[in-house]
Amino acid sequence: MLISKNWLKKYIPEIEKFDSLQIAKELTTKVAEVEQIIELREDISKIVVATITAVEKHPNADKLSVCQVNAGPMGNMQVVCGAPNVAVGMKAALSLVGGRVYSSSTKSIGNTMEVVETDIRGVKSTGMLCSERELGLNDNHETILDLTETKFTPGEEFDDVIRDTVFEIENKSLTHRGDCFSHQGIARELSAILNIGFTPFNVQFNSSQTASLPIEIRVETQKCGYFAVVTIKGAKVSESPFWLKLELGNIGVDSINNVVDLANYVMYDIGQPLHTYDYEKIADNKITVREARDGERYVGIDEKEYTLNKGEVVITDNKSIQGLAGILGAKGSEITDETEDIVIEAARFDNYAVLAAARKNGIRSEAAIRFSKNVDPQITRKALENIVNLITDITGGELSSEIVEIEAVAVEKDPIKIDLKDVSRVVGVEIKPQKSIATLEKLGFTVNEKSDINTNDISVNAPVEVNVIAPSWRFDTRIAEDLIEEIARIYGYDLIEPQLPARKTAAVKIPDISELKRAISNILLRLGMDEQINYSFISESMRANLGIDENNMLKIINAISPELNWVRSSILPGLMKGAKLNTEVNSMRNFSIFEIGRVVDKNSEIEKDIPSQPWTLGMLSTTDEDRYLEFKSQIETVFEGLEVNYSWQEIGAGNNAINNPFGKDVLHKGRSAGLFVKSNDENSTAENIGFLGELGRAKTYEMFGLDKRIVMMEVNLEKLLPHWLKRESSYKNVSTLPESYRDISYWIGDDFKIGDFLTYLEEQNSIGKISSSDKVDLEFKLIDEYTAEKQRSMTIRIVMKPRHSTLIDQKINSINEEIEQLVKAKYKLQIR
Amino acid sequence: MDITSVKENFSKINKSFKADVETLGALKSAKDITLVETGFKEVLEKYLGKQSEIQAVLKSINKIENPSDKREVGMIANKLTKEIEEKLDSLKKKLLEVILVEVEKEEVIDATRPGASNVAKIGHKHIITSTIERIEDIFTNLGFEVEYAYEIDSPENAFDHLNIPESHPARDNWDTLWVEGGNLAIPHTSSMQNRILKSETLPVKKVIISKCFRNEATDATHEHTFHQVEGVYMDTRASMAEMLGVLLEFFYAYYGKKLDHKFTPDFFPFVEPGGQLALEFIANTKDEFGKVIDKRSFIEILGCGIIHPNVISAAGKDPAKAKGFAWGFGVERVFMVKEKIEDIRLFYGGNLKFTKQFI
Repeated sequence: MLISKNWLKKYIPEIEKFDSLQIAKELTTKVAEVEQIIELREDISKIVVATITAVEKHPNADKLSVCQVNAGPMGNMQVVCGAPNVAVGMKAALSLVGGRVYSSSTKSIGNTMEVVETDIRGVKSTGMLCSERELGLNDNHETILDLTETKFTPGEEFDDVIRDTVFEIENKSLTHRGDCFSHQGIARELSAILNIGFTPFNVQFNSSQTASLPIEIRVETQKCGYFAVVTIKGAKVSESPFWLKLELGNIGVDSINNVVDLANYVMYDIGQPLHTYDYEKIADNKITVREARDGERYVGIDEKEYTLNKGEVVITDNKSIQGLAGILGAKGSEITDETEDIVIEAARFDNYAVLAAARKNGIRSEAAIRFSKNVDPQITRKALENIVNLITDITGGELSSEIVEIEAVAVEKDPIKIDLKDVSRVVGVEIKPQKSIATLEKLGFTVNEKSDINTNDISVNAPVEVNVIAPSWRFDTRIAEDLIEEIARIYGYDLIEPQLPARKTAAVKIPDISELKRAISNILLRLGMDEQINYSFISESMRANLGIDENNMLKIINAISPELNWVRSSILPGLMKGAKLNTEVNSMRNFSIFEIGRVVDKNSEIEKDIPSQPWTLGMLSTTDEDRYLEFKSQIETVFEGLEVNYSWQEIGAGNNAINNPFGKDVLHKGRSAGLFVKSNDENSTAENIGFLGELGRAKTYEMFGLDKRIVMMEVNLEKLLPHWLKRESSYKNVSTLPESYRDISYWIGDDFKIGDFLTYLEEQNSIGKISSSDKVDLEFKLIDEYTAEKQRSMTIRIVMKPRHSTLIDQKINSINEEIEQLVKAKYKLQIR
Repeated sequence: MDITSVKENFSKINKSFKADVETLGALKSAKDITLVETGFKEVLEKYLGKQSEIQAVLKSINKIENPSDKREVGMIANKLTKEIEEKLDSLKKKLLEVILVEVEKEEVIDATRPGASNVAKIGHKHIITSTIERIEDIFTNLGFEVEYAYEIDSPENAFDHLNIPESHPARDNWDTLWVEGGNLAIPHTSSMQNRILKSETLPVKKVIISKCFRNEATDATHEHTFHQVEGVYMDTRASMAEMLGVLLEFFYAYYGKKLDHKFTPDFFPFVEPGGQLALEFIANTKDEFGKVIDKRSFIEILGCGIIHPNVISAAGKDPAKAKGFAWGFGVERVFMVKEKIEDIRLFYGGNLKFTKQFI
């Protein structure tokens, strides 16, 4: 939106005194961002108004004229001019010798040149009569600017008249301020900010009808809050007067004709969009405002055809749609040079309805912008009165109807009670009640009961309560907090001195889950794994490929992006995608990645109607060769580092079993294990918190190629957390006594679970089933497993660390014997 | 045993040792450490090992009857043992000094070349994680507790309780991703505000961090997934000045220096008064003549404000007695302006070439 400084002077004359940069800064920090300051015609000078008193043909050039001009106090001059429209009695813009004008050459637009006294083919020329291009008004260079119809007097400075500063204001931030989309609105804001006088818009309506053109209206929808029309007979539609073209041109609005320009002028002046129709084109002199039927069509003045949706408000005559209400008029009924009789409409429409219809039909119009941010209900009729005055004055048309209107329901605004002391409390700087009142009044608010305030005796605790009524054009101020924002805004957010809240000293720690996440990632990073953060969603093709059950995932119902079909129930699909990307794009081989994030378990709830979203750790290793056990060892390092008791078991079928989310043919058939953890408390049983598995060979071949191995692990951190919080330090006094060991080899069956075997021995030891466990620390390790001639065997090493005295052979043998007994009690194993 | 023959035997040993020493000396030109090692080991074994003549003599020393002879033989044997040890030690040292100098000459490496590439590398933390951890640490230092939002939540928590009723057109502005059953993927971390304001007693000082989502197609500046940090402060009193104080304190700690700020009014349905904070960053850029200059510009970094009374009421608290402020900013944004990252898609693209640039 462009705002002209010259135009603002109409409301706030003192604005002249203020530097443009300062104005821009104040608007930016207090109203809306000024994106650009445009100085119009700042580099032309010494241009005055002059009257042509005589015109003669140039003796030596057919196309040139020799003009005698009178520039009032500046004297009489002789000027040679090439324009065909020079005439005696004409008023024009004269550049005096030594002045600067824009170059008339189209090749050097924007450059200026100095006007010098010159001799043109033997005739002296002192100064120059200027074209619009030379004045920087528009591109016309065929004729000189004709100022005959203006009130300027010879000798008056003209460069000052056409010079202006224009502020380009970013309008997105003015969400609820339709009033600010006008010069009056911005002027009012500036009057409050700069504390300068403001003269509000007013109109003296000349209501006398001198002709008659009947018009009827009918409103059939609640979405139209007010509707009024009036007719003008015999208007002479033509080029706009100089002042109008200048003011509109300065804010970047093209001149169409005097009627359309005036409607625009009123809108940019006071913020009320108006619409003008050719009276002849309105069938049966009757205008109806109604809601559109689904699929109704009309062609806008932009010549595009629109297919409307049910409920969108349209303006119709008895035959066809004449406009999409508050958004865009229809082609056919617009004002043209042939128009003589005019209908002018001033209305208000529901702002949300306009917003929705403009969005749906993809139309951005100045009217729609204003209506969708709400228009001052008290200005609509005045705007109509104003344009009637202007059109009758400028076009010579006659008022030919009364203002036909559908009376609006008057909306009384509730007073807002505010304790002005709250202003200082909320803003955090001292703002005196008088200052708050002055600010509100400058902005058009009415402050009642203010006389009750004793300015000299405002005791510390007594509230200073007043009732405030918001002006008709404000729709965004309903509660005291809204008023505080108004006061703080005009005071200046930038003047607020930061201060820290009076702090109660309280130690704060990060949440337990965050501690756990950090502990895990620290270990994984040291192991050389890189962290990923993937989307919380997966595509349908990924889901189908991995055979994840649709019943276990939440479906997204309105995604634009094709990747977002499901909310993830596992970290692993994302890691697989990541592994594939880096293998293919970065030619990476043999690497491990991990991610810690929330997954969604559709089938359980964390709160009523909110699904569980456990923090989950996913790890993936991709290698060229089989490194399943190496990866498993790294995972064991993590759980050793976390100091939790863990074990590997077959994934059970129990209720709490954590199974892989994939379809049954996705994982390798013989390489899955469940991870179980157990707390240190007495009654704790091992809980399944995750699973380890390898991507099946066929699936790996399909997704990554025959020469790859993909091993993955997923751990539910919410399940791990309570166990981890109960962890005990694994610190043991370091004994300097030499340790001993015994190795025992067994023949074992193909289904034998070494993990279970080791867990069994550890458990037996921890519950004191080995008599010397208080004197000797025992450790059970698998040191070898192999299969030869279809016979599988394992070698277990029993490491014995004495705490107090060196182990003698006898003792070693007795420990060994006890362990043998324990094994025999549960397993039938043959010693190799 | 005859003492004289013992002595003779010792002198023969000594003579033979000297000859062997000379042979060892010739290893000097061999430039071979292994040869030196084995040569010396053999000679040591020959004269002082378990099978050596000196050992044999010492083993049979008890057969000498005369005590003074016995002592003398013992002394001679010990002396000879010591001499042999010392001689071998000093000679080995001398020899190696010469040889190792030669060896070094053959071990010259271009020390400027990069190290071997086949060693284990450390892993890399994702930059979003590092940034979040830093943010968590700074806010805990400021006395704020950290909480994580649910990624899937109800429209009541994401909108209704936040002064954005269903009829409010602003609800469309969030481009929300909806899931089956009526819930949504949270468009902002404010979704936790109602729970927090409801359950906590004053004063409340919380920071909420989470992934958030918008229903957008991705390009260099748009991403449907991002991380947000929400702050909620509530006490019997709270002011904009205090809000500004907390935020500037945070950014000072995060960026490691004081940055100029711009604080301007802004509109968000859940705060009133509302504002927007911009910080001044300096970037190297080229002017029209190609000269490198510092370009200073204010970059919008967050939205904030005094918590709207409707939000406080929705949490069952009396807005006359509980006042608060809240803010929200994007983790990616805070980091991007620091590192001048231009393509937001890099964060969640999974490309390790990006991840590995940050430790």
